[in-house]
Amino acid sequence: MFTFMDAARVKRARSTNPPSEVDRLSSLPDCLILHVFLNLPTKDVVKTSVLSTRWTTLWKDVPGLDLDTEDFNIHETFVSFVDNFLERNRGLSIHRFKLTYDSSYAEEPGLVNRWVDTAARLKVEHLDLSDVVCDQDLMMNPTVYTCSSLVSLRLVGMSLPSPERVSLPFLKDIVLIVVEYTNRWALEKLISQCPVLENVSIDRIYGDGMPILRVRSQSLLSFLHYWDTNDDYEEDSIVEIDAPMLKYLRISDGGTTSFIIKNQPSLVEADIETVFNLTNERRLQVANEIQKRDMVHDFLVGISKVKDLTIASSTLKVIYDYARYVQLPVFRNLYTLCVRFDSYMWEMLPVFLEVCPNLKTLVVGTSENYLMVDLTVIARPWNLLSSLEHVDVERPLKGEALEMSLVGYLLENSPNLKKLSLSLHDSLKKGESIHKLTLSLDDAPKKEESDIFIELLNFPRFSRSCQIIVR
Amino acid sequence: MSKKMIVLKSSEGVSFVVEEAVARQSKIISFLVEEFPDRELPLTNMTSEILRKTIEYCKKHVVEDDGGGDSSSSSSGDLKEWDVKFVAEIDQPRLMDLLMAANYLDIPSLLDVTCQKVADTIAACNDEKEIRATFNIENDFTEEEVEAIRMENQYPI
Repeated sequence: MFTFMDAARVKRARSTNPPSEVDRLSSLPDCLILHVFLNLPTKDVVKTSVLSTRWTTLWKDVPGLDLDTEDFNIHETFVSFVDNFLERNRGLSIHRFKLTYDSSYAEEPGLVNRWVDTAARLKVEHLDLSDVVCDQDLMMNPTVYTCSSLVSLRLVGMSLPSPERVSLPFLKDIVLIVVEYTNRWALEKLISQCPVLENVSIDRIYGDGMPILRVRSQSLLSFLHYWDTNDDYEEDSIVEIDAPMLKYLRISDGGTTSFIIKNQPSLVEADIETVFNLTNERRLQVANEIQKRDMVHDFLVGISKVKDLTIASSTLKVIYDYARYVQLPVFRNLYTLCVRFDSYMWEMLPVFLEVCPNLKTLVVGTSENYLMVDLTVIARPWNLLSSLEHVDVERPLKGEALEMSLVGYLLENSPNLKKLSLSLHDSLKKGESIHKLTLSLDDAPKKEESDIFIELLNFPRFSRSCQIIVR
Repeated sequence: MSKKMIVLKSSEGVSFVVEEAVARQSKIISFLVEEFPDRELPLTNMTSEILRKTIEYCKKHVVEDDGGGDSSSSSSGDLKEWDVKFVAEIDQPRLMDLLMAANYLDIPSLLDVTCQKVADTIAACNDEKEIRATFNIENDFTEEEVEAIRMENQYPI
């Protein structure tokens, strides 16, 4: 019944939130509220129980759990909460089972695997388990390989057993973060036996037991391979990708010696940052090795159908080095190229631009990673960049000689350039330049904003219609 | 080749001419188009405004299958960004209407996006009081009742 008191309360609520006047959320049918709940961590779902009588028990009906052990002061409460969830859903099927737990509580070592067994029986679709300890001590239950209802699987910080049998007919996504593989073929077998697998993302640790990773899949659309830089790591490590349907490839890798791409996929997007584990020292020794040269060449052929490429300047430097010995493949489909520069050494760029005959947009980006910088440049005349129409210099200009010469090179050699946009570094902005001068330790004269504008205007532009836009 | 068009009619009787491929993202429309070809489809519980929004979403998400077979109009990253912007611009009552529309027309991806937005709004609230204020939920509990429910939930909040 609507009483005068209620009206007063409604009015108060209105004043805090004028655009919405009635409680639309509570009037949604239960099934839609539960759909909303599936997108929420369990702690937020439980919060709704005290909203009003409409909400008191709704949270118990959500067929998903997303729980973090760190929200519980008492470990036993966490355990019984999970047990109660599984018990409530006995005989039903669950959508999501996501836990972040702490394996240092070892009272019941088989606890997580018991939960995985139950979740598998409840036909879980999304399984997501993270061990906050991240020491790979926990061996995952082999049931995950035969949990046939699974659509996505995400594991963090544990070990994967050897798969005896794989039956995952619906699995689309695999995410494995700092996982150790007890059998070197475990992941290869898992990937190759999922018939509808679309996305694989792995974030690796050194010594994860997988010197060779073969990614073989007829259905795979995206593959992401992350591996931190480790200069001391000298083991050979190979990643071989045989996925003809692949559209998106991301490699951010400081450890892999060889990337092999078979069955050249028609990539739409690629983001590549690797030096094929070549440190400066190792690079000198092996630069002439035919095998390594061929690998770099074949890798480039493998990605050469890509339309949109982001590449680290460190990778470009390796390509530049090898371009002296091998013919680079032509990137005929490449329309957008973003180069993430770790410094402003750019002289290796023109060699790559020459094999991109249809490039329309070039983005000069920045990178925080710093893999190596050594580069010997052989002076020679640059070719024209006849297809280039747009250049976007994302990194704010400081007026350093190298960066200005890059802008000059692009303006002078692009007959069809329509727009070059750039921004200036804060240190050049008016009012700060004096401050900057007093702090400067070297004797090099610091440029001011106006100097840079004059320099920009004085560059000869091949394209008459080219605009320079300062953001 | 000209694309096949169909006509959708809102509750106010306004007709929207839409490419069939766009409208077929709705499983209901997809079914109706096959059962009743060349007929105007009346969507009596959808206002023109919400129908227009729904069509805008479907247009963005249609996978163009012209020859190449794989030429989606945008990359998946761009689409996700677009989705976020799309729901961010909608006020709460219309978001609820759109959520209901996605459910009614059976457009799973739109239902996910709208539910996610509602979930994010709930998650952004610090406590139940803020959730009530945000969604105008009438509190019919006493403090004691709230405490009793908290105890029963066995959840440390």
